[in-house]
Amino acid sequence: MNKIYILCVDDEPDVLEAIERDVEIFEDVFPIELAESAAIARGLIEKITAQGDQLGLIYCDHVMPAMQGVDFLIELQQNERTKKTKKVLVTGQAGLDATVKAVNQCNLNHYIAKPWNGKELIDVTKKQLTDYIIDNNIDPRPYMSVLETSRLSEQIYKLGLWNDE
Amino acid sequence: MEFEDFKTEWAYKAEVHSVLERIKQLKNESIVFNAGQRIIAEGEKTDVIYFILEGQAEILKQGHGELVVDKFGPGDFIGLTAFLTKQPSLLESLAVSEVTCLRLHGVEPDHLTHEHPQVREIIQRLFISNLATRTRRMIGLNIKVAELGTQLKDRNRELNEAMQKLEHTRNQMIHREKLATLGQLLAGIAHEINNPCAALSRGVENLIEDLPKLLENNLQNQNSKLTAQMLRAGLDCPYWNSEVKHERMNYLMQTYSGMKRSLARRLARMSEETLSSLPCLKEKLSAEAMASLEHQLDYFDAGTYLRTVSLSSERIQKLVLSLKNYGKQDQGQAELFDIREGIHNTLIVLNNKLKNYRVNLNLEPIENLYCHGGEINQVWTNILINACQATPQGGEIDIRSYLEKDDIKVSISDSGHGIDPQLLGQIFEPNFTTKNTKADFGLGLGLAISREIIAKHGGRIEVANREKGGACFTVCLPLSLKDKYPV
Repeated sequence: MNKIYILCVDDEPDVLEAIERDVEIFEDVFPIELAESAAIARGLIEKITAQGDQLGLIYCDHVMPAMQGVDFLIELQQNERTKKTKKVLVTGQAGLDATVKAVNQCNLNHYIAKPWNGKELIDVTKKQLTDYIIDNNIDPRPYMSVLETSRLSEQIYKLGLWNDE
Repeated sequence: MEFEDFKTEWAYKAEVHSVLERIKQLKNESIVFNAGQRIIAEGEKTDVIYFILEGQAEILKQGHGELVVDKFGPGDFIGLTAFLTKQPSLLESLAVSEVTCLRLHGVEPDHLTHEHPQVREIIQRLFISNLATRTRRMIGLNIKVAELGTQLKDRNRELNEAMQKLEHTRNQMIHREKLATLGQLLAGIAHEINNPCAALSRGVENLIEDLPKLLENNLQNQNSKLTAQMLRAGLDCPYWNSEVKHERMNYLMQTYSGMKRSLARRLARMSEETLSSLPCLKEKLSAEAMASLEHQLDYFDAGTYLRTVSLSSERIQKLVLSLKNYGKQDQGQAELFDIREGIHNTLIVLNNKLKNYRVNLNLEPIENLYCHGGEINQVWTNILINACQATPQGGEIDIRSYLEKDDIKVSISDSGHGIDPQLLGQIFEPNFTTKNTKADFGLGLGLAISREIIAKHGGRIEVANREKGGACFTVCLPLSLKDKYPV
């Protein structure tokens, strides 16, 4: 079965570890990858898609060396393989301009301001991944336990998968 | 020769006098105007000419606040132009003192010259003399007007310059005020943050010291030594590089077949040494061993959380210190100041902007100088912000400090688009800006103020384009500031 990945990008190792800790509970259903820069993230996405898996959700910091988060998300939006990936900007400081650009050009799905709290990050992860499953007509059954169960149940019904049981 | 002299010399004194005597004898029709009395009104048609014998008259033009156009005295004609042209008088004539005139009716001049040919020539000369006088005055007036015009232009230019200076000063004062406010705010906020931060760091230090001991002394726990060791290992856990961690996870999942990713992720944070000290970590993990392993991992994780709190509180303390030093407000007097530390603090404050550039620091040891540290930091800030704006992201910014002869020099160069050579001479001028109105620091005062700050310290600031592209600003401060205040 194809795996759906979560990717977290932040240039500050302590912040990256904090995000990692908060999404760890999804690990056994949605493998997690980490990157300190857009360049590393790009390589990981290449690997994930090459092995036939997909990137379901990306958490991306905005203020980073070399390439800013918003620009990287726009790049992903323009790439067929990551167009559908749910994109979340995590930032301590993005000006209005950057945020507007993100919403308009990369179809930003959510915006998280630093510092966040653990529950917020978990809820956002659940919602975004549930959206991803539904939007892409993926069989929700393997993901029920860690995502929004009621919405996924409806989806199962809609897809006519109850009959299989 | 002035026109007044002309009149006196030629007309009045000599011949005129005798002529007047003769005419007076002939007609004896003189008329007296009292001071303030009108002789001819503006717009009035006249068929008489007045020839002034005594007293002073003013010639006025209405509509310009009674502009005095001319002054007439003995020997002058009043109404000459109106009489000769038969047009309404352009001007008004007014007696200033008591004026005695000879009134000549329209017919009389001809009549007079006809009957007394000997006065004809003199009358003509008088006319000509009068007209010549007026022409001379007009030329004189025109020259005067031109002179006044030039003076006015000069005065206008001076006023404009003064206005510009005032505006510049005003903008600078606003800027200074802003900086002073910023400095106070920074100091205030720094203080406020420092208090909880001190409590935080003390708390976490105590916890780091006591918690492992508490665990060791827990008699109920058979593995008390191991749990304490795990906690300590967590405290020493580094922030792993994502690629290294990725490899370690893969290695663990290969070594322990069937190991879940989530467990591998947690174990991947441990060093080899810590991993080998876990007796329960076997190739085949029984349920019991798994529970024990998770238990130890929880202690290790607790250690890493404490480590994060501790490192973060240290980071906050450093930041706060930098903020405080960066916005340093001198109380008038310059203080011995570490220029290099100032540069470091400025870099921390600008970290957000500078993140997108490769900053190469090459700071040779330099002497501490007596200077206004907060202001000097402002100079680095201004130059660095300009460098960021002129350099595409990913570009380089080089900062050097070194001693050259009797100067301490700090050069900041970037790999940006450089400065238009034609504008090089202007960039320190107030209100010079190449940025649009959306720029962060739009006043266009940054470099002007920087130059002033450096000048105040007896130094200078230079700019040049580098051969390999980009601009290079060099600030030179006199080494003599190491043991004396700036003048």
